[in-house]
Amino acid sequence: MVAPLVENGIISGNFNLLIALFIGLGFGFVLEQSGFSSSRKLAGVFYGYDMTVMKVFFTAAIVAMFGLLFFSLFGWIDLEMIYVNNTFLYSAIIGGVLMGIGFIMGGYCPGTSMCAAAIGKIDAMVFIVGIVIGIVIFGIGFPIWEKIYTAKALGPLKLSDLIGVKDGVFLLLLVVIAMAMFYAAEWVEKKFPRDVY
Amino acid sequence: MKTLQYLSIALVTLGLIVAFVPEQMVSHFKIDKNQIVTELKQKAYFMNPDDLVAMLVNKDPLFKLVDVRDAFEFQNFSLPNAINIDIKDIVSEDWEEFMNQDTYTIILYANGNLEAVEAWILCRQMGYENIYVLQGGLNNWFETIVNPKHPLPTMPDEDQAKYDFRKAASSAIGMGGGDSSAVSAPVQVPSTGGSKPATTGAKKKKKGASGGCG
Amino acid sequence: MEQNTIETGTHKKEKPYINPYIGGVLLGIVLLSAFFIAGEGLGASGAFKNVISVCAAPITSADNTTGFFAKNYHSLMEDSKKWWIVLEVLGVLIGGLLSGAVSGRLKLKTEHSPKISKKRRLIFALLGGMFFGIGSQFGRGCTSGAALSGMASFSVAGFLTMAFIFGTGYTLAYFFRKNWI
Repeated sequence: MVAPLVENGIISGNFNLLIALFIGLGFGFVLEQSGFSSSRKLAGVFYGYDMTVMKVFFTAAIVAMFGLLFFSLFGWIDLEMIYVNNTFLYSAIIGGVLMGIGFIMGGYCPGTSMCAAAIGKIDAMVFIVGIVIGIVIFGIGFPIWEKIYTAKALGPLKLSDLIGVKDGVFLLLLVVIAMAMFYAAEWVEKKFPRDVY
Repeated sequence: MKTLQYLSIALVTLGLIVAFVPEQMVSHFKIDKNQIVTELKQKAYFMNPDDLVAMLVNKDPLFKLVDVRDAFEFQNFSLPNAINIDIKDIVSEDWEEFMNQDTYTIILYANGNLEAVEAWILCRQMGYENIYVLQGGLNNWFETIVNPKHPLPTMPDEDQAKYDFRKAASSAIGMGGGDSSAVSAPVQVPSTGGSKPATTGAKKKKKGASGGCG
Repeated sequence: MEQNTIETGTHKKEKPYINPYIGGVLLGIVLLSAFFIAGEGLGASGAFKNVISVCAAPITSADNTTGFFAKNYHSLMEDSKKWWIVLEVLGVLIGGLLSGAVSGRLKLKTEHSPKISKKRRLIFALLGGMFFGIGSQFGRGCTSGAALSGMASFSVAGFLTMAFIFGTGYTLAYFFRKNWI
């Protein structure tokens, strides 16, 4: 029972914040190295000419999930203490739809826009301005949608529990699905190629 | 494509491993055995009957009584609103949701200490928190609460106060108002060595990280 | 074509992007370390929300404790852990900069399809950002926080939000195709 290090007092609060900086550094570096600082590359996942988003996204999620399960197996981490974000049914769906619109329009998400802005992409900087405006709008109008925002609170629900399978089995299923998606992605990229973008 | 092929093989292999590994190993981490030994030595997991009866009288909602004896003895007599969970079931999956939480305090009891402490150790190994043992079990309960010993006139005032409290409390919760006659031995005061467990609410189990982006 | 090699004309050749699967593995490791050290995953939109809450505090939180920003501001002031994401996002900025620097990709420009004007691209970037801003609050996170980290912790909300982000994107892709292809 070693990790999470902060929760178990192995790392102090302030050191944790410093580490946050470094983790972010790694995050930003890998994102940019993978090409996520380019809006046209990001948007490519929706048109088939560049499926990088899908490949990186799902590979990352799966690797992290394996990491969590194996660490738990070796007793290096206490899974109970990992933050599982709460499911607010309506809010999660509405958020997803709005963000989908934002993604196809803007070609970025908050994390990637930071990366892109860092290397000088002006459209990313404008996107960031948009994010701020959007959040302010949400905050000002909060009383209007507060009810939906907090509706159908299902708590920190895990999908593996919902379906009724062990985490390990769930992960295996996810791996199989992801593999299918990856091979399909390779095929799609060959079918809808674009020149340099 | 080659990368994808290597990746596929690696992930599917790992996936097969985690899927077929026994649940026990991948589930939440159990508590360190040295810690249990320490807790056993400190004996802070005992709850004395006075505290319990106070919670009953105040109708404190945040505790649950668990009778770990067999069904027959449970039918014969049990504390108010107690649930009967046999020792062999107490760490089973069926009861996990009830036992493994951090909202209310759970107080285990049996006739004496032995079986309740056995149950306590089992629960603690599973990492359950907020579990206590009624000190001295039902035997002690009867001797101190239900039939408190009438203090001798030469005893300090607080013993008298304790006696009055116990008499009132036991009738408040509907248990006999026995009164064993004053004996030459001093009033039996249950040991309160070690810190008293909280009566309302439960010591919060370390909650996991709260975080998230939104 | 997995790798992207662009000749920038005047000076050094830009380095290619790395293989996406490798990138995914590396990102997964970063994500795992976040869970290992801090017990929470990565995120991005939360940092924006926090910074806004603090900046707007004089207006929104002066004598208020129940407003959206006010509540956030107060919890920020009380618990230093909530600043984790702000520092993390700051790190993202620096990390992106470093990566761009070593790969020769630092260049001030507006990226857009040759078929549309710069102005049009910027307008859509602004609108897209606004939608994302609002959406990330409903979703209690964005693609990094809610979706990626959510999925990694097996959360239903994570998968749900991710499904709707991509589902919506694919559904509307046709209508925005002129902007991209």
